[in-house]
Amino acid sequence: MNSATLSENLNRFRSLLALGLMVIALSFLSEQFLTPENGFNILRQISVNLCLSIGMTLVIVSGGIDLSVGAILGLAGAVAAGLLKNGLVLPPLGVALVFTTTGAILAAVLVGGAAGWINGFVITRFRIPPFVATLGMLSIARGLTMLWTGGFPVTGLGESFGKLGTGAFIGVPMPVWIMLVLAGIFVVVTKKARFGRHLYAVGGNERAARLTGLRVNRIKVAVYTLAGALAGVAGLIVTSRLDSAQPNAGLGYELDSIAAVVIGGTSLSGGRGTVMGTVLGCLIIGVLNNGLFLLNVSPFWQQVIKGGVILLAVAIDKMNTKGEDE
Amino acid sequence: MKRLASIPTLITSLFAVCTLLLSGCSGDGSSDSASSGSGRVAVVVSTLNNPWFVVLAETARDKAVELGYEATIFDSQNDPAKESVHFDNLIASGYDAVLFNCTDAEGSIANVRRAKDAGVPVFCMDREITANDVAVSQILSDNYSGCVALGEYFVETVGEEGEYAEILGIIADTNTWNRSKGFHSVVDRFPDLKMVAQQSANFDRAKALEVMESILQANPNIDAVFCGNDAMAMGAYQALLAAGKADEVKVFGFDGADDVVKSIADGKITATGMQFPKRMAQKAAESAHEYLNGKRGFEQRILVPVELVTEENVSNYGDSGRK
Amino acid sequence: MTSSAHSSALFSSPAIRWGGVALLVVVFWIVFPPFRIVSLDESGKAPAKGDESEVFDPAGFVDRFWEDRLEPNLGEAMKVEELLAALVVDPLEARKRYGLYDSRYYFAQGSGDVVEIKGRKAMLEVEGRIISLLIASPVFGNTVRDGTGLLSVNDFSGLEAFNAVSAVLNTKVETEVMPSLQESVKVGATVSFVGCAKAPETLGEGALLEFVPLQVEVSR
Repeated sequence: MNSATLSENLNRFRSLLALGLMVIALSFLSEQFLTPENGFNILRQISVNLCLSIGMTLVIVSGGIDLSVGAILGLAGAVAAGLLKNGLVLPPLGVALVFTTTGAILAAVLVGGAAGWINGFVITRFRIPPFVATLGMLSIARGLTMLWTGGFPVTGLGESFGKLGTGAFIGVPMPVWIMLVLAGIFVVVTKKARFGRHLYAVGGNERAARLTGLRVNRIKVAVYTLAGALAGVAGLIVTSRLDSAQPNAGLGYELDSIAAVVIGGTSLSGGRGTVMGTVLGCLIIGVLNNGLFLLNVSPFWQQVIKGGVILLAVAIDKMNTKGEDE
Repeated sequence: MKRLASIPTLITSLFAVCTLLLSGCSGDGSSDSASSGSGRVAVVVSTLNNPWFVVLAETARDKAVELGYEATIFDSQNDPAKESVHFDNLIASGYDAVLFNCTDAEGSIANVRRAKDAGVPVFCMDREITANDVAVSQILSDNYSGCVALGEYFVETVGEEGEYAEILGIIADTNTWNRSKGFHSVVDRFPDLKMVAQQSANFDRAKALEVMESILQANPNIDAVFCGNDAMAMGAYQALLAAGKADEVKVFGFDGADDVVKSIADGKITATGMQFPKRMAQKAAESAHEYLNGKRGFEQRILVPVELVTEENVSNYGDSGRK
Repeated sequence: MTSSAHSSALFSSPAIRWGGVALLVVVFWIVFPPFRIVSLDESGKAPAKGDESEVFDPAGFVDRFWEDRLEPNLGEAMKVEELLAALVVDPLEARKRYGLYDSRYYFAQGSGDVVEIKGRKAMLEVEGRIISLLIASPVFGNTVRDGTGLLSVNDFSGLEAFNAVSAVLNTKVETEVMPSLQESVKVGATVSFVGCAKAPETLGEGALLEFVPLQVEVSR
């Protein structure tokens, strides 16, 4: 067992401990907290953030950042809703495409993936820092969403599409299923698959990875594409739950997802972090939100407390890396 | 060193928990009056980023506390998804009623329906949801009529010919259009009153300043500007002031915010429509109280009139209501 | 030359792979078709989805309302003399007693002599008191919609529909009640009317009430 996995385990242990303490404290403080209903509640609430955060973890581990996921979420949701509601009219061909729920889902994921691919392409080809490139995409995706919707929400999307966000399968809400499946896939991919090993190599030391013959650019493009596609899935969940695509859906979500990733122990300097950690990070934020709610904390204080938790998480992370360096 | 790192995590949790306890206690109300209620009321508000909504939310909370409930404000930050999370939470934790200011007329329906299905009554304040069968009652501001009156005053003061600009609120907001349509239902009848620009500034003061600057660049000769809320009216006024045109261009707002009422008294802003956030919030809280005490058969929509505030009658008005 | 030989040697394996992918896509397409293609009708629009809820038609509603409910109820309007008598004693008390639609409007009938024409308004004298009657377009606001007490926002799907009704009602007054008035209403004429007016909270100068007409008869 090398030192990297050891510190990873310690990290995980700390997150688990924090989560456990919070759960125990809240169970004593609020009788509504430890109920199955509230448990699903928390899971359903973190599902959107977790979809974004899985992608964000990959991006941050690769040594980048993606500020556009919230905007891509909005765009993908709007595209799905628009296609479902109005179809796609192609006047030059004299035909219109009437989309099914399957088609809308595919379109959202494709649009998200395409936006992410453009991020990756711009970052690798033109060597634009990810911060700037994805900031550009944020604005482009928001603008496209406005153009597509005309600034108005798209509502009334039908029952079958609504099941995606509000339905349940063996008692477990659909968004929770989606989140569990995606988290499972990406835990395995990052731990066991070749792609995962390459990803950590690229994030840890890009030049070394290049010298060993890894196709760094290809990996990076793949990472941003995945982050975009996952944002598309998140967009589907949000849109379906509300039965409405809001033109400004997902505003500021990139920050929530970065927070979850950081609390989950992923280092912002790349190369270190796990999807499992991010799952814990999302849970911590979810439980914190829910707990602050149940305990009647004023919304102004809630923001202060959440900020404090993020700062503490990063401080601990820093303290640890320092310990390793010495 | 590594072991010690778990101590801060512990502190985090304790810190959080303490804060909760400290701030959670503020909701206790007096419960001496005979008809006072008991239970918890949630005030879910579209945003706390605009003082008008802070007044609405805090009045609703205070009234609920006065009636004997524990009451808490939830801020949806203009995001229906956040609002949806609030509804899940308050349904799961057994709130007894919701005083609700929605983020979107259609997008919020699903949330209210979930609450209704779970047996939690919802009372809408100020903003409408476009469904008749989910909220118990909707106490709404009559934006359209208010802007009709404002439009008539506009024609009276600006005259039957001239050029004007309109600064809209959030495009997706129903009130933006209720206001704009009310205004245009009057002004469009005068073909010589020409609208030379129509732009959105998202109900935001800073954004309105920018938009007004651009409008003045393109149309230096406008006679008046109609803004969809008072924050934008103040922003537009600042831009006019900077351009040295504050005396030539008449500014019309909507809401009845404190600074605009003062500006009308000072002759800076021409007129605004006074909405009554406090009246609506109190009415919603009272309705919830009555409902929880067994009353049924509420009217689905109750329109609260908007009053025109001008230089002539400004002395009757104060912040968010009549003096 | 070499490259083509090279690719032909490798041809089989990618072909099988891509063939497999294509087959999967086709099967998926058949089982879960993402969209179907329909031709556009002449208007260039895609056929609307079936579950489109019926669209509210304010003009149709107003025509029906005018004939079936408003006209039969015109006789129910209160006597304007009675209203004025109460008004001059205490406007707030009069509002409470006679006001409709949350005490904000009056619905009244009566007749008076035209004493003056002021712009678009005719000043009528009723038992020594002055009221005004709007005789020329435009008509603004919700006085017609709300003033009769016959319509409530709760009869409609929402404020948008309710506001649309108001606009159509105003147009109806402009096009069906008013056209002849500017010609016929002259100083000295006697005018019988049924109309709606906003209920004031205080007694202003000039006309005590400002009526929007729903029905007018002019005699010399």
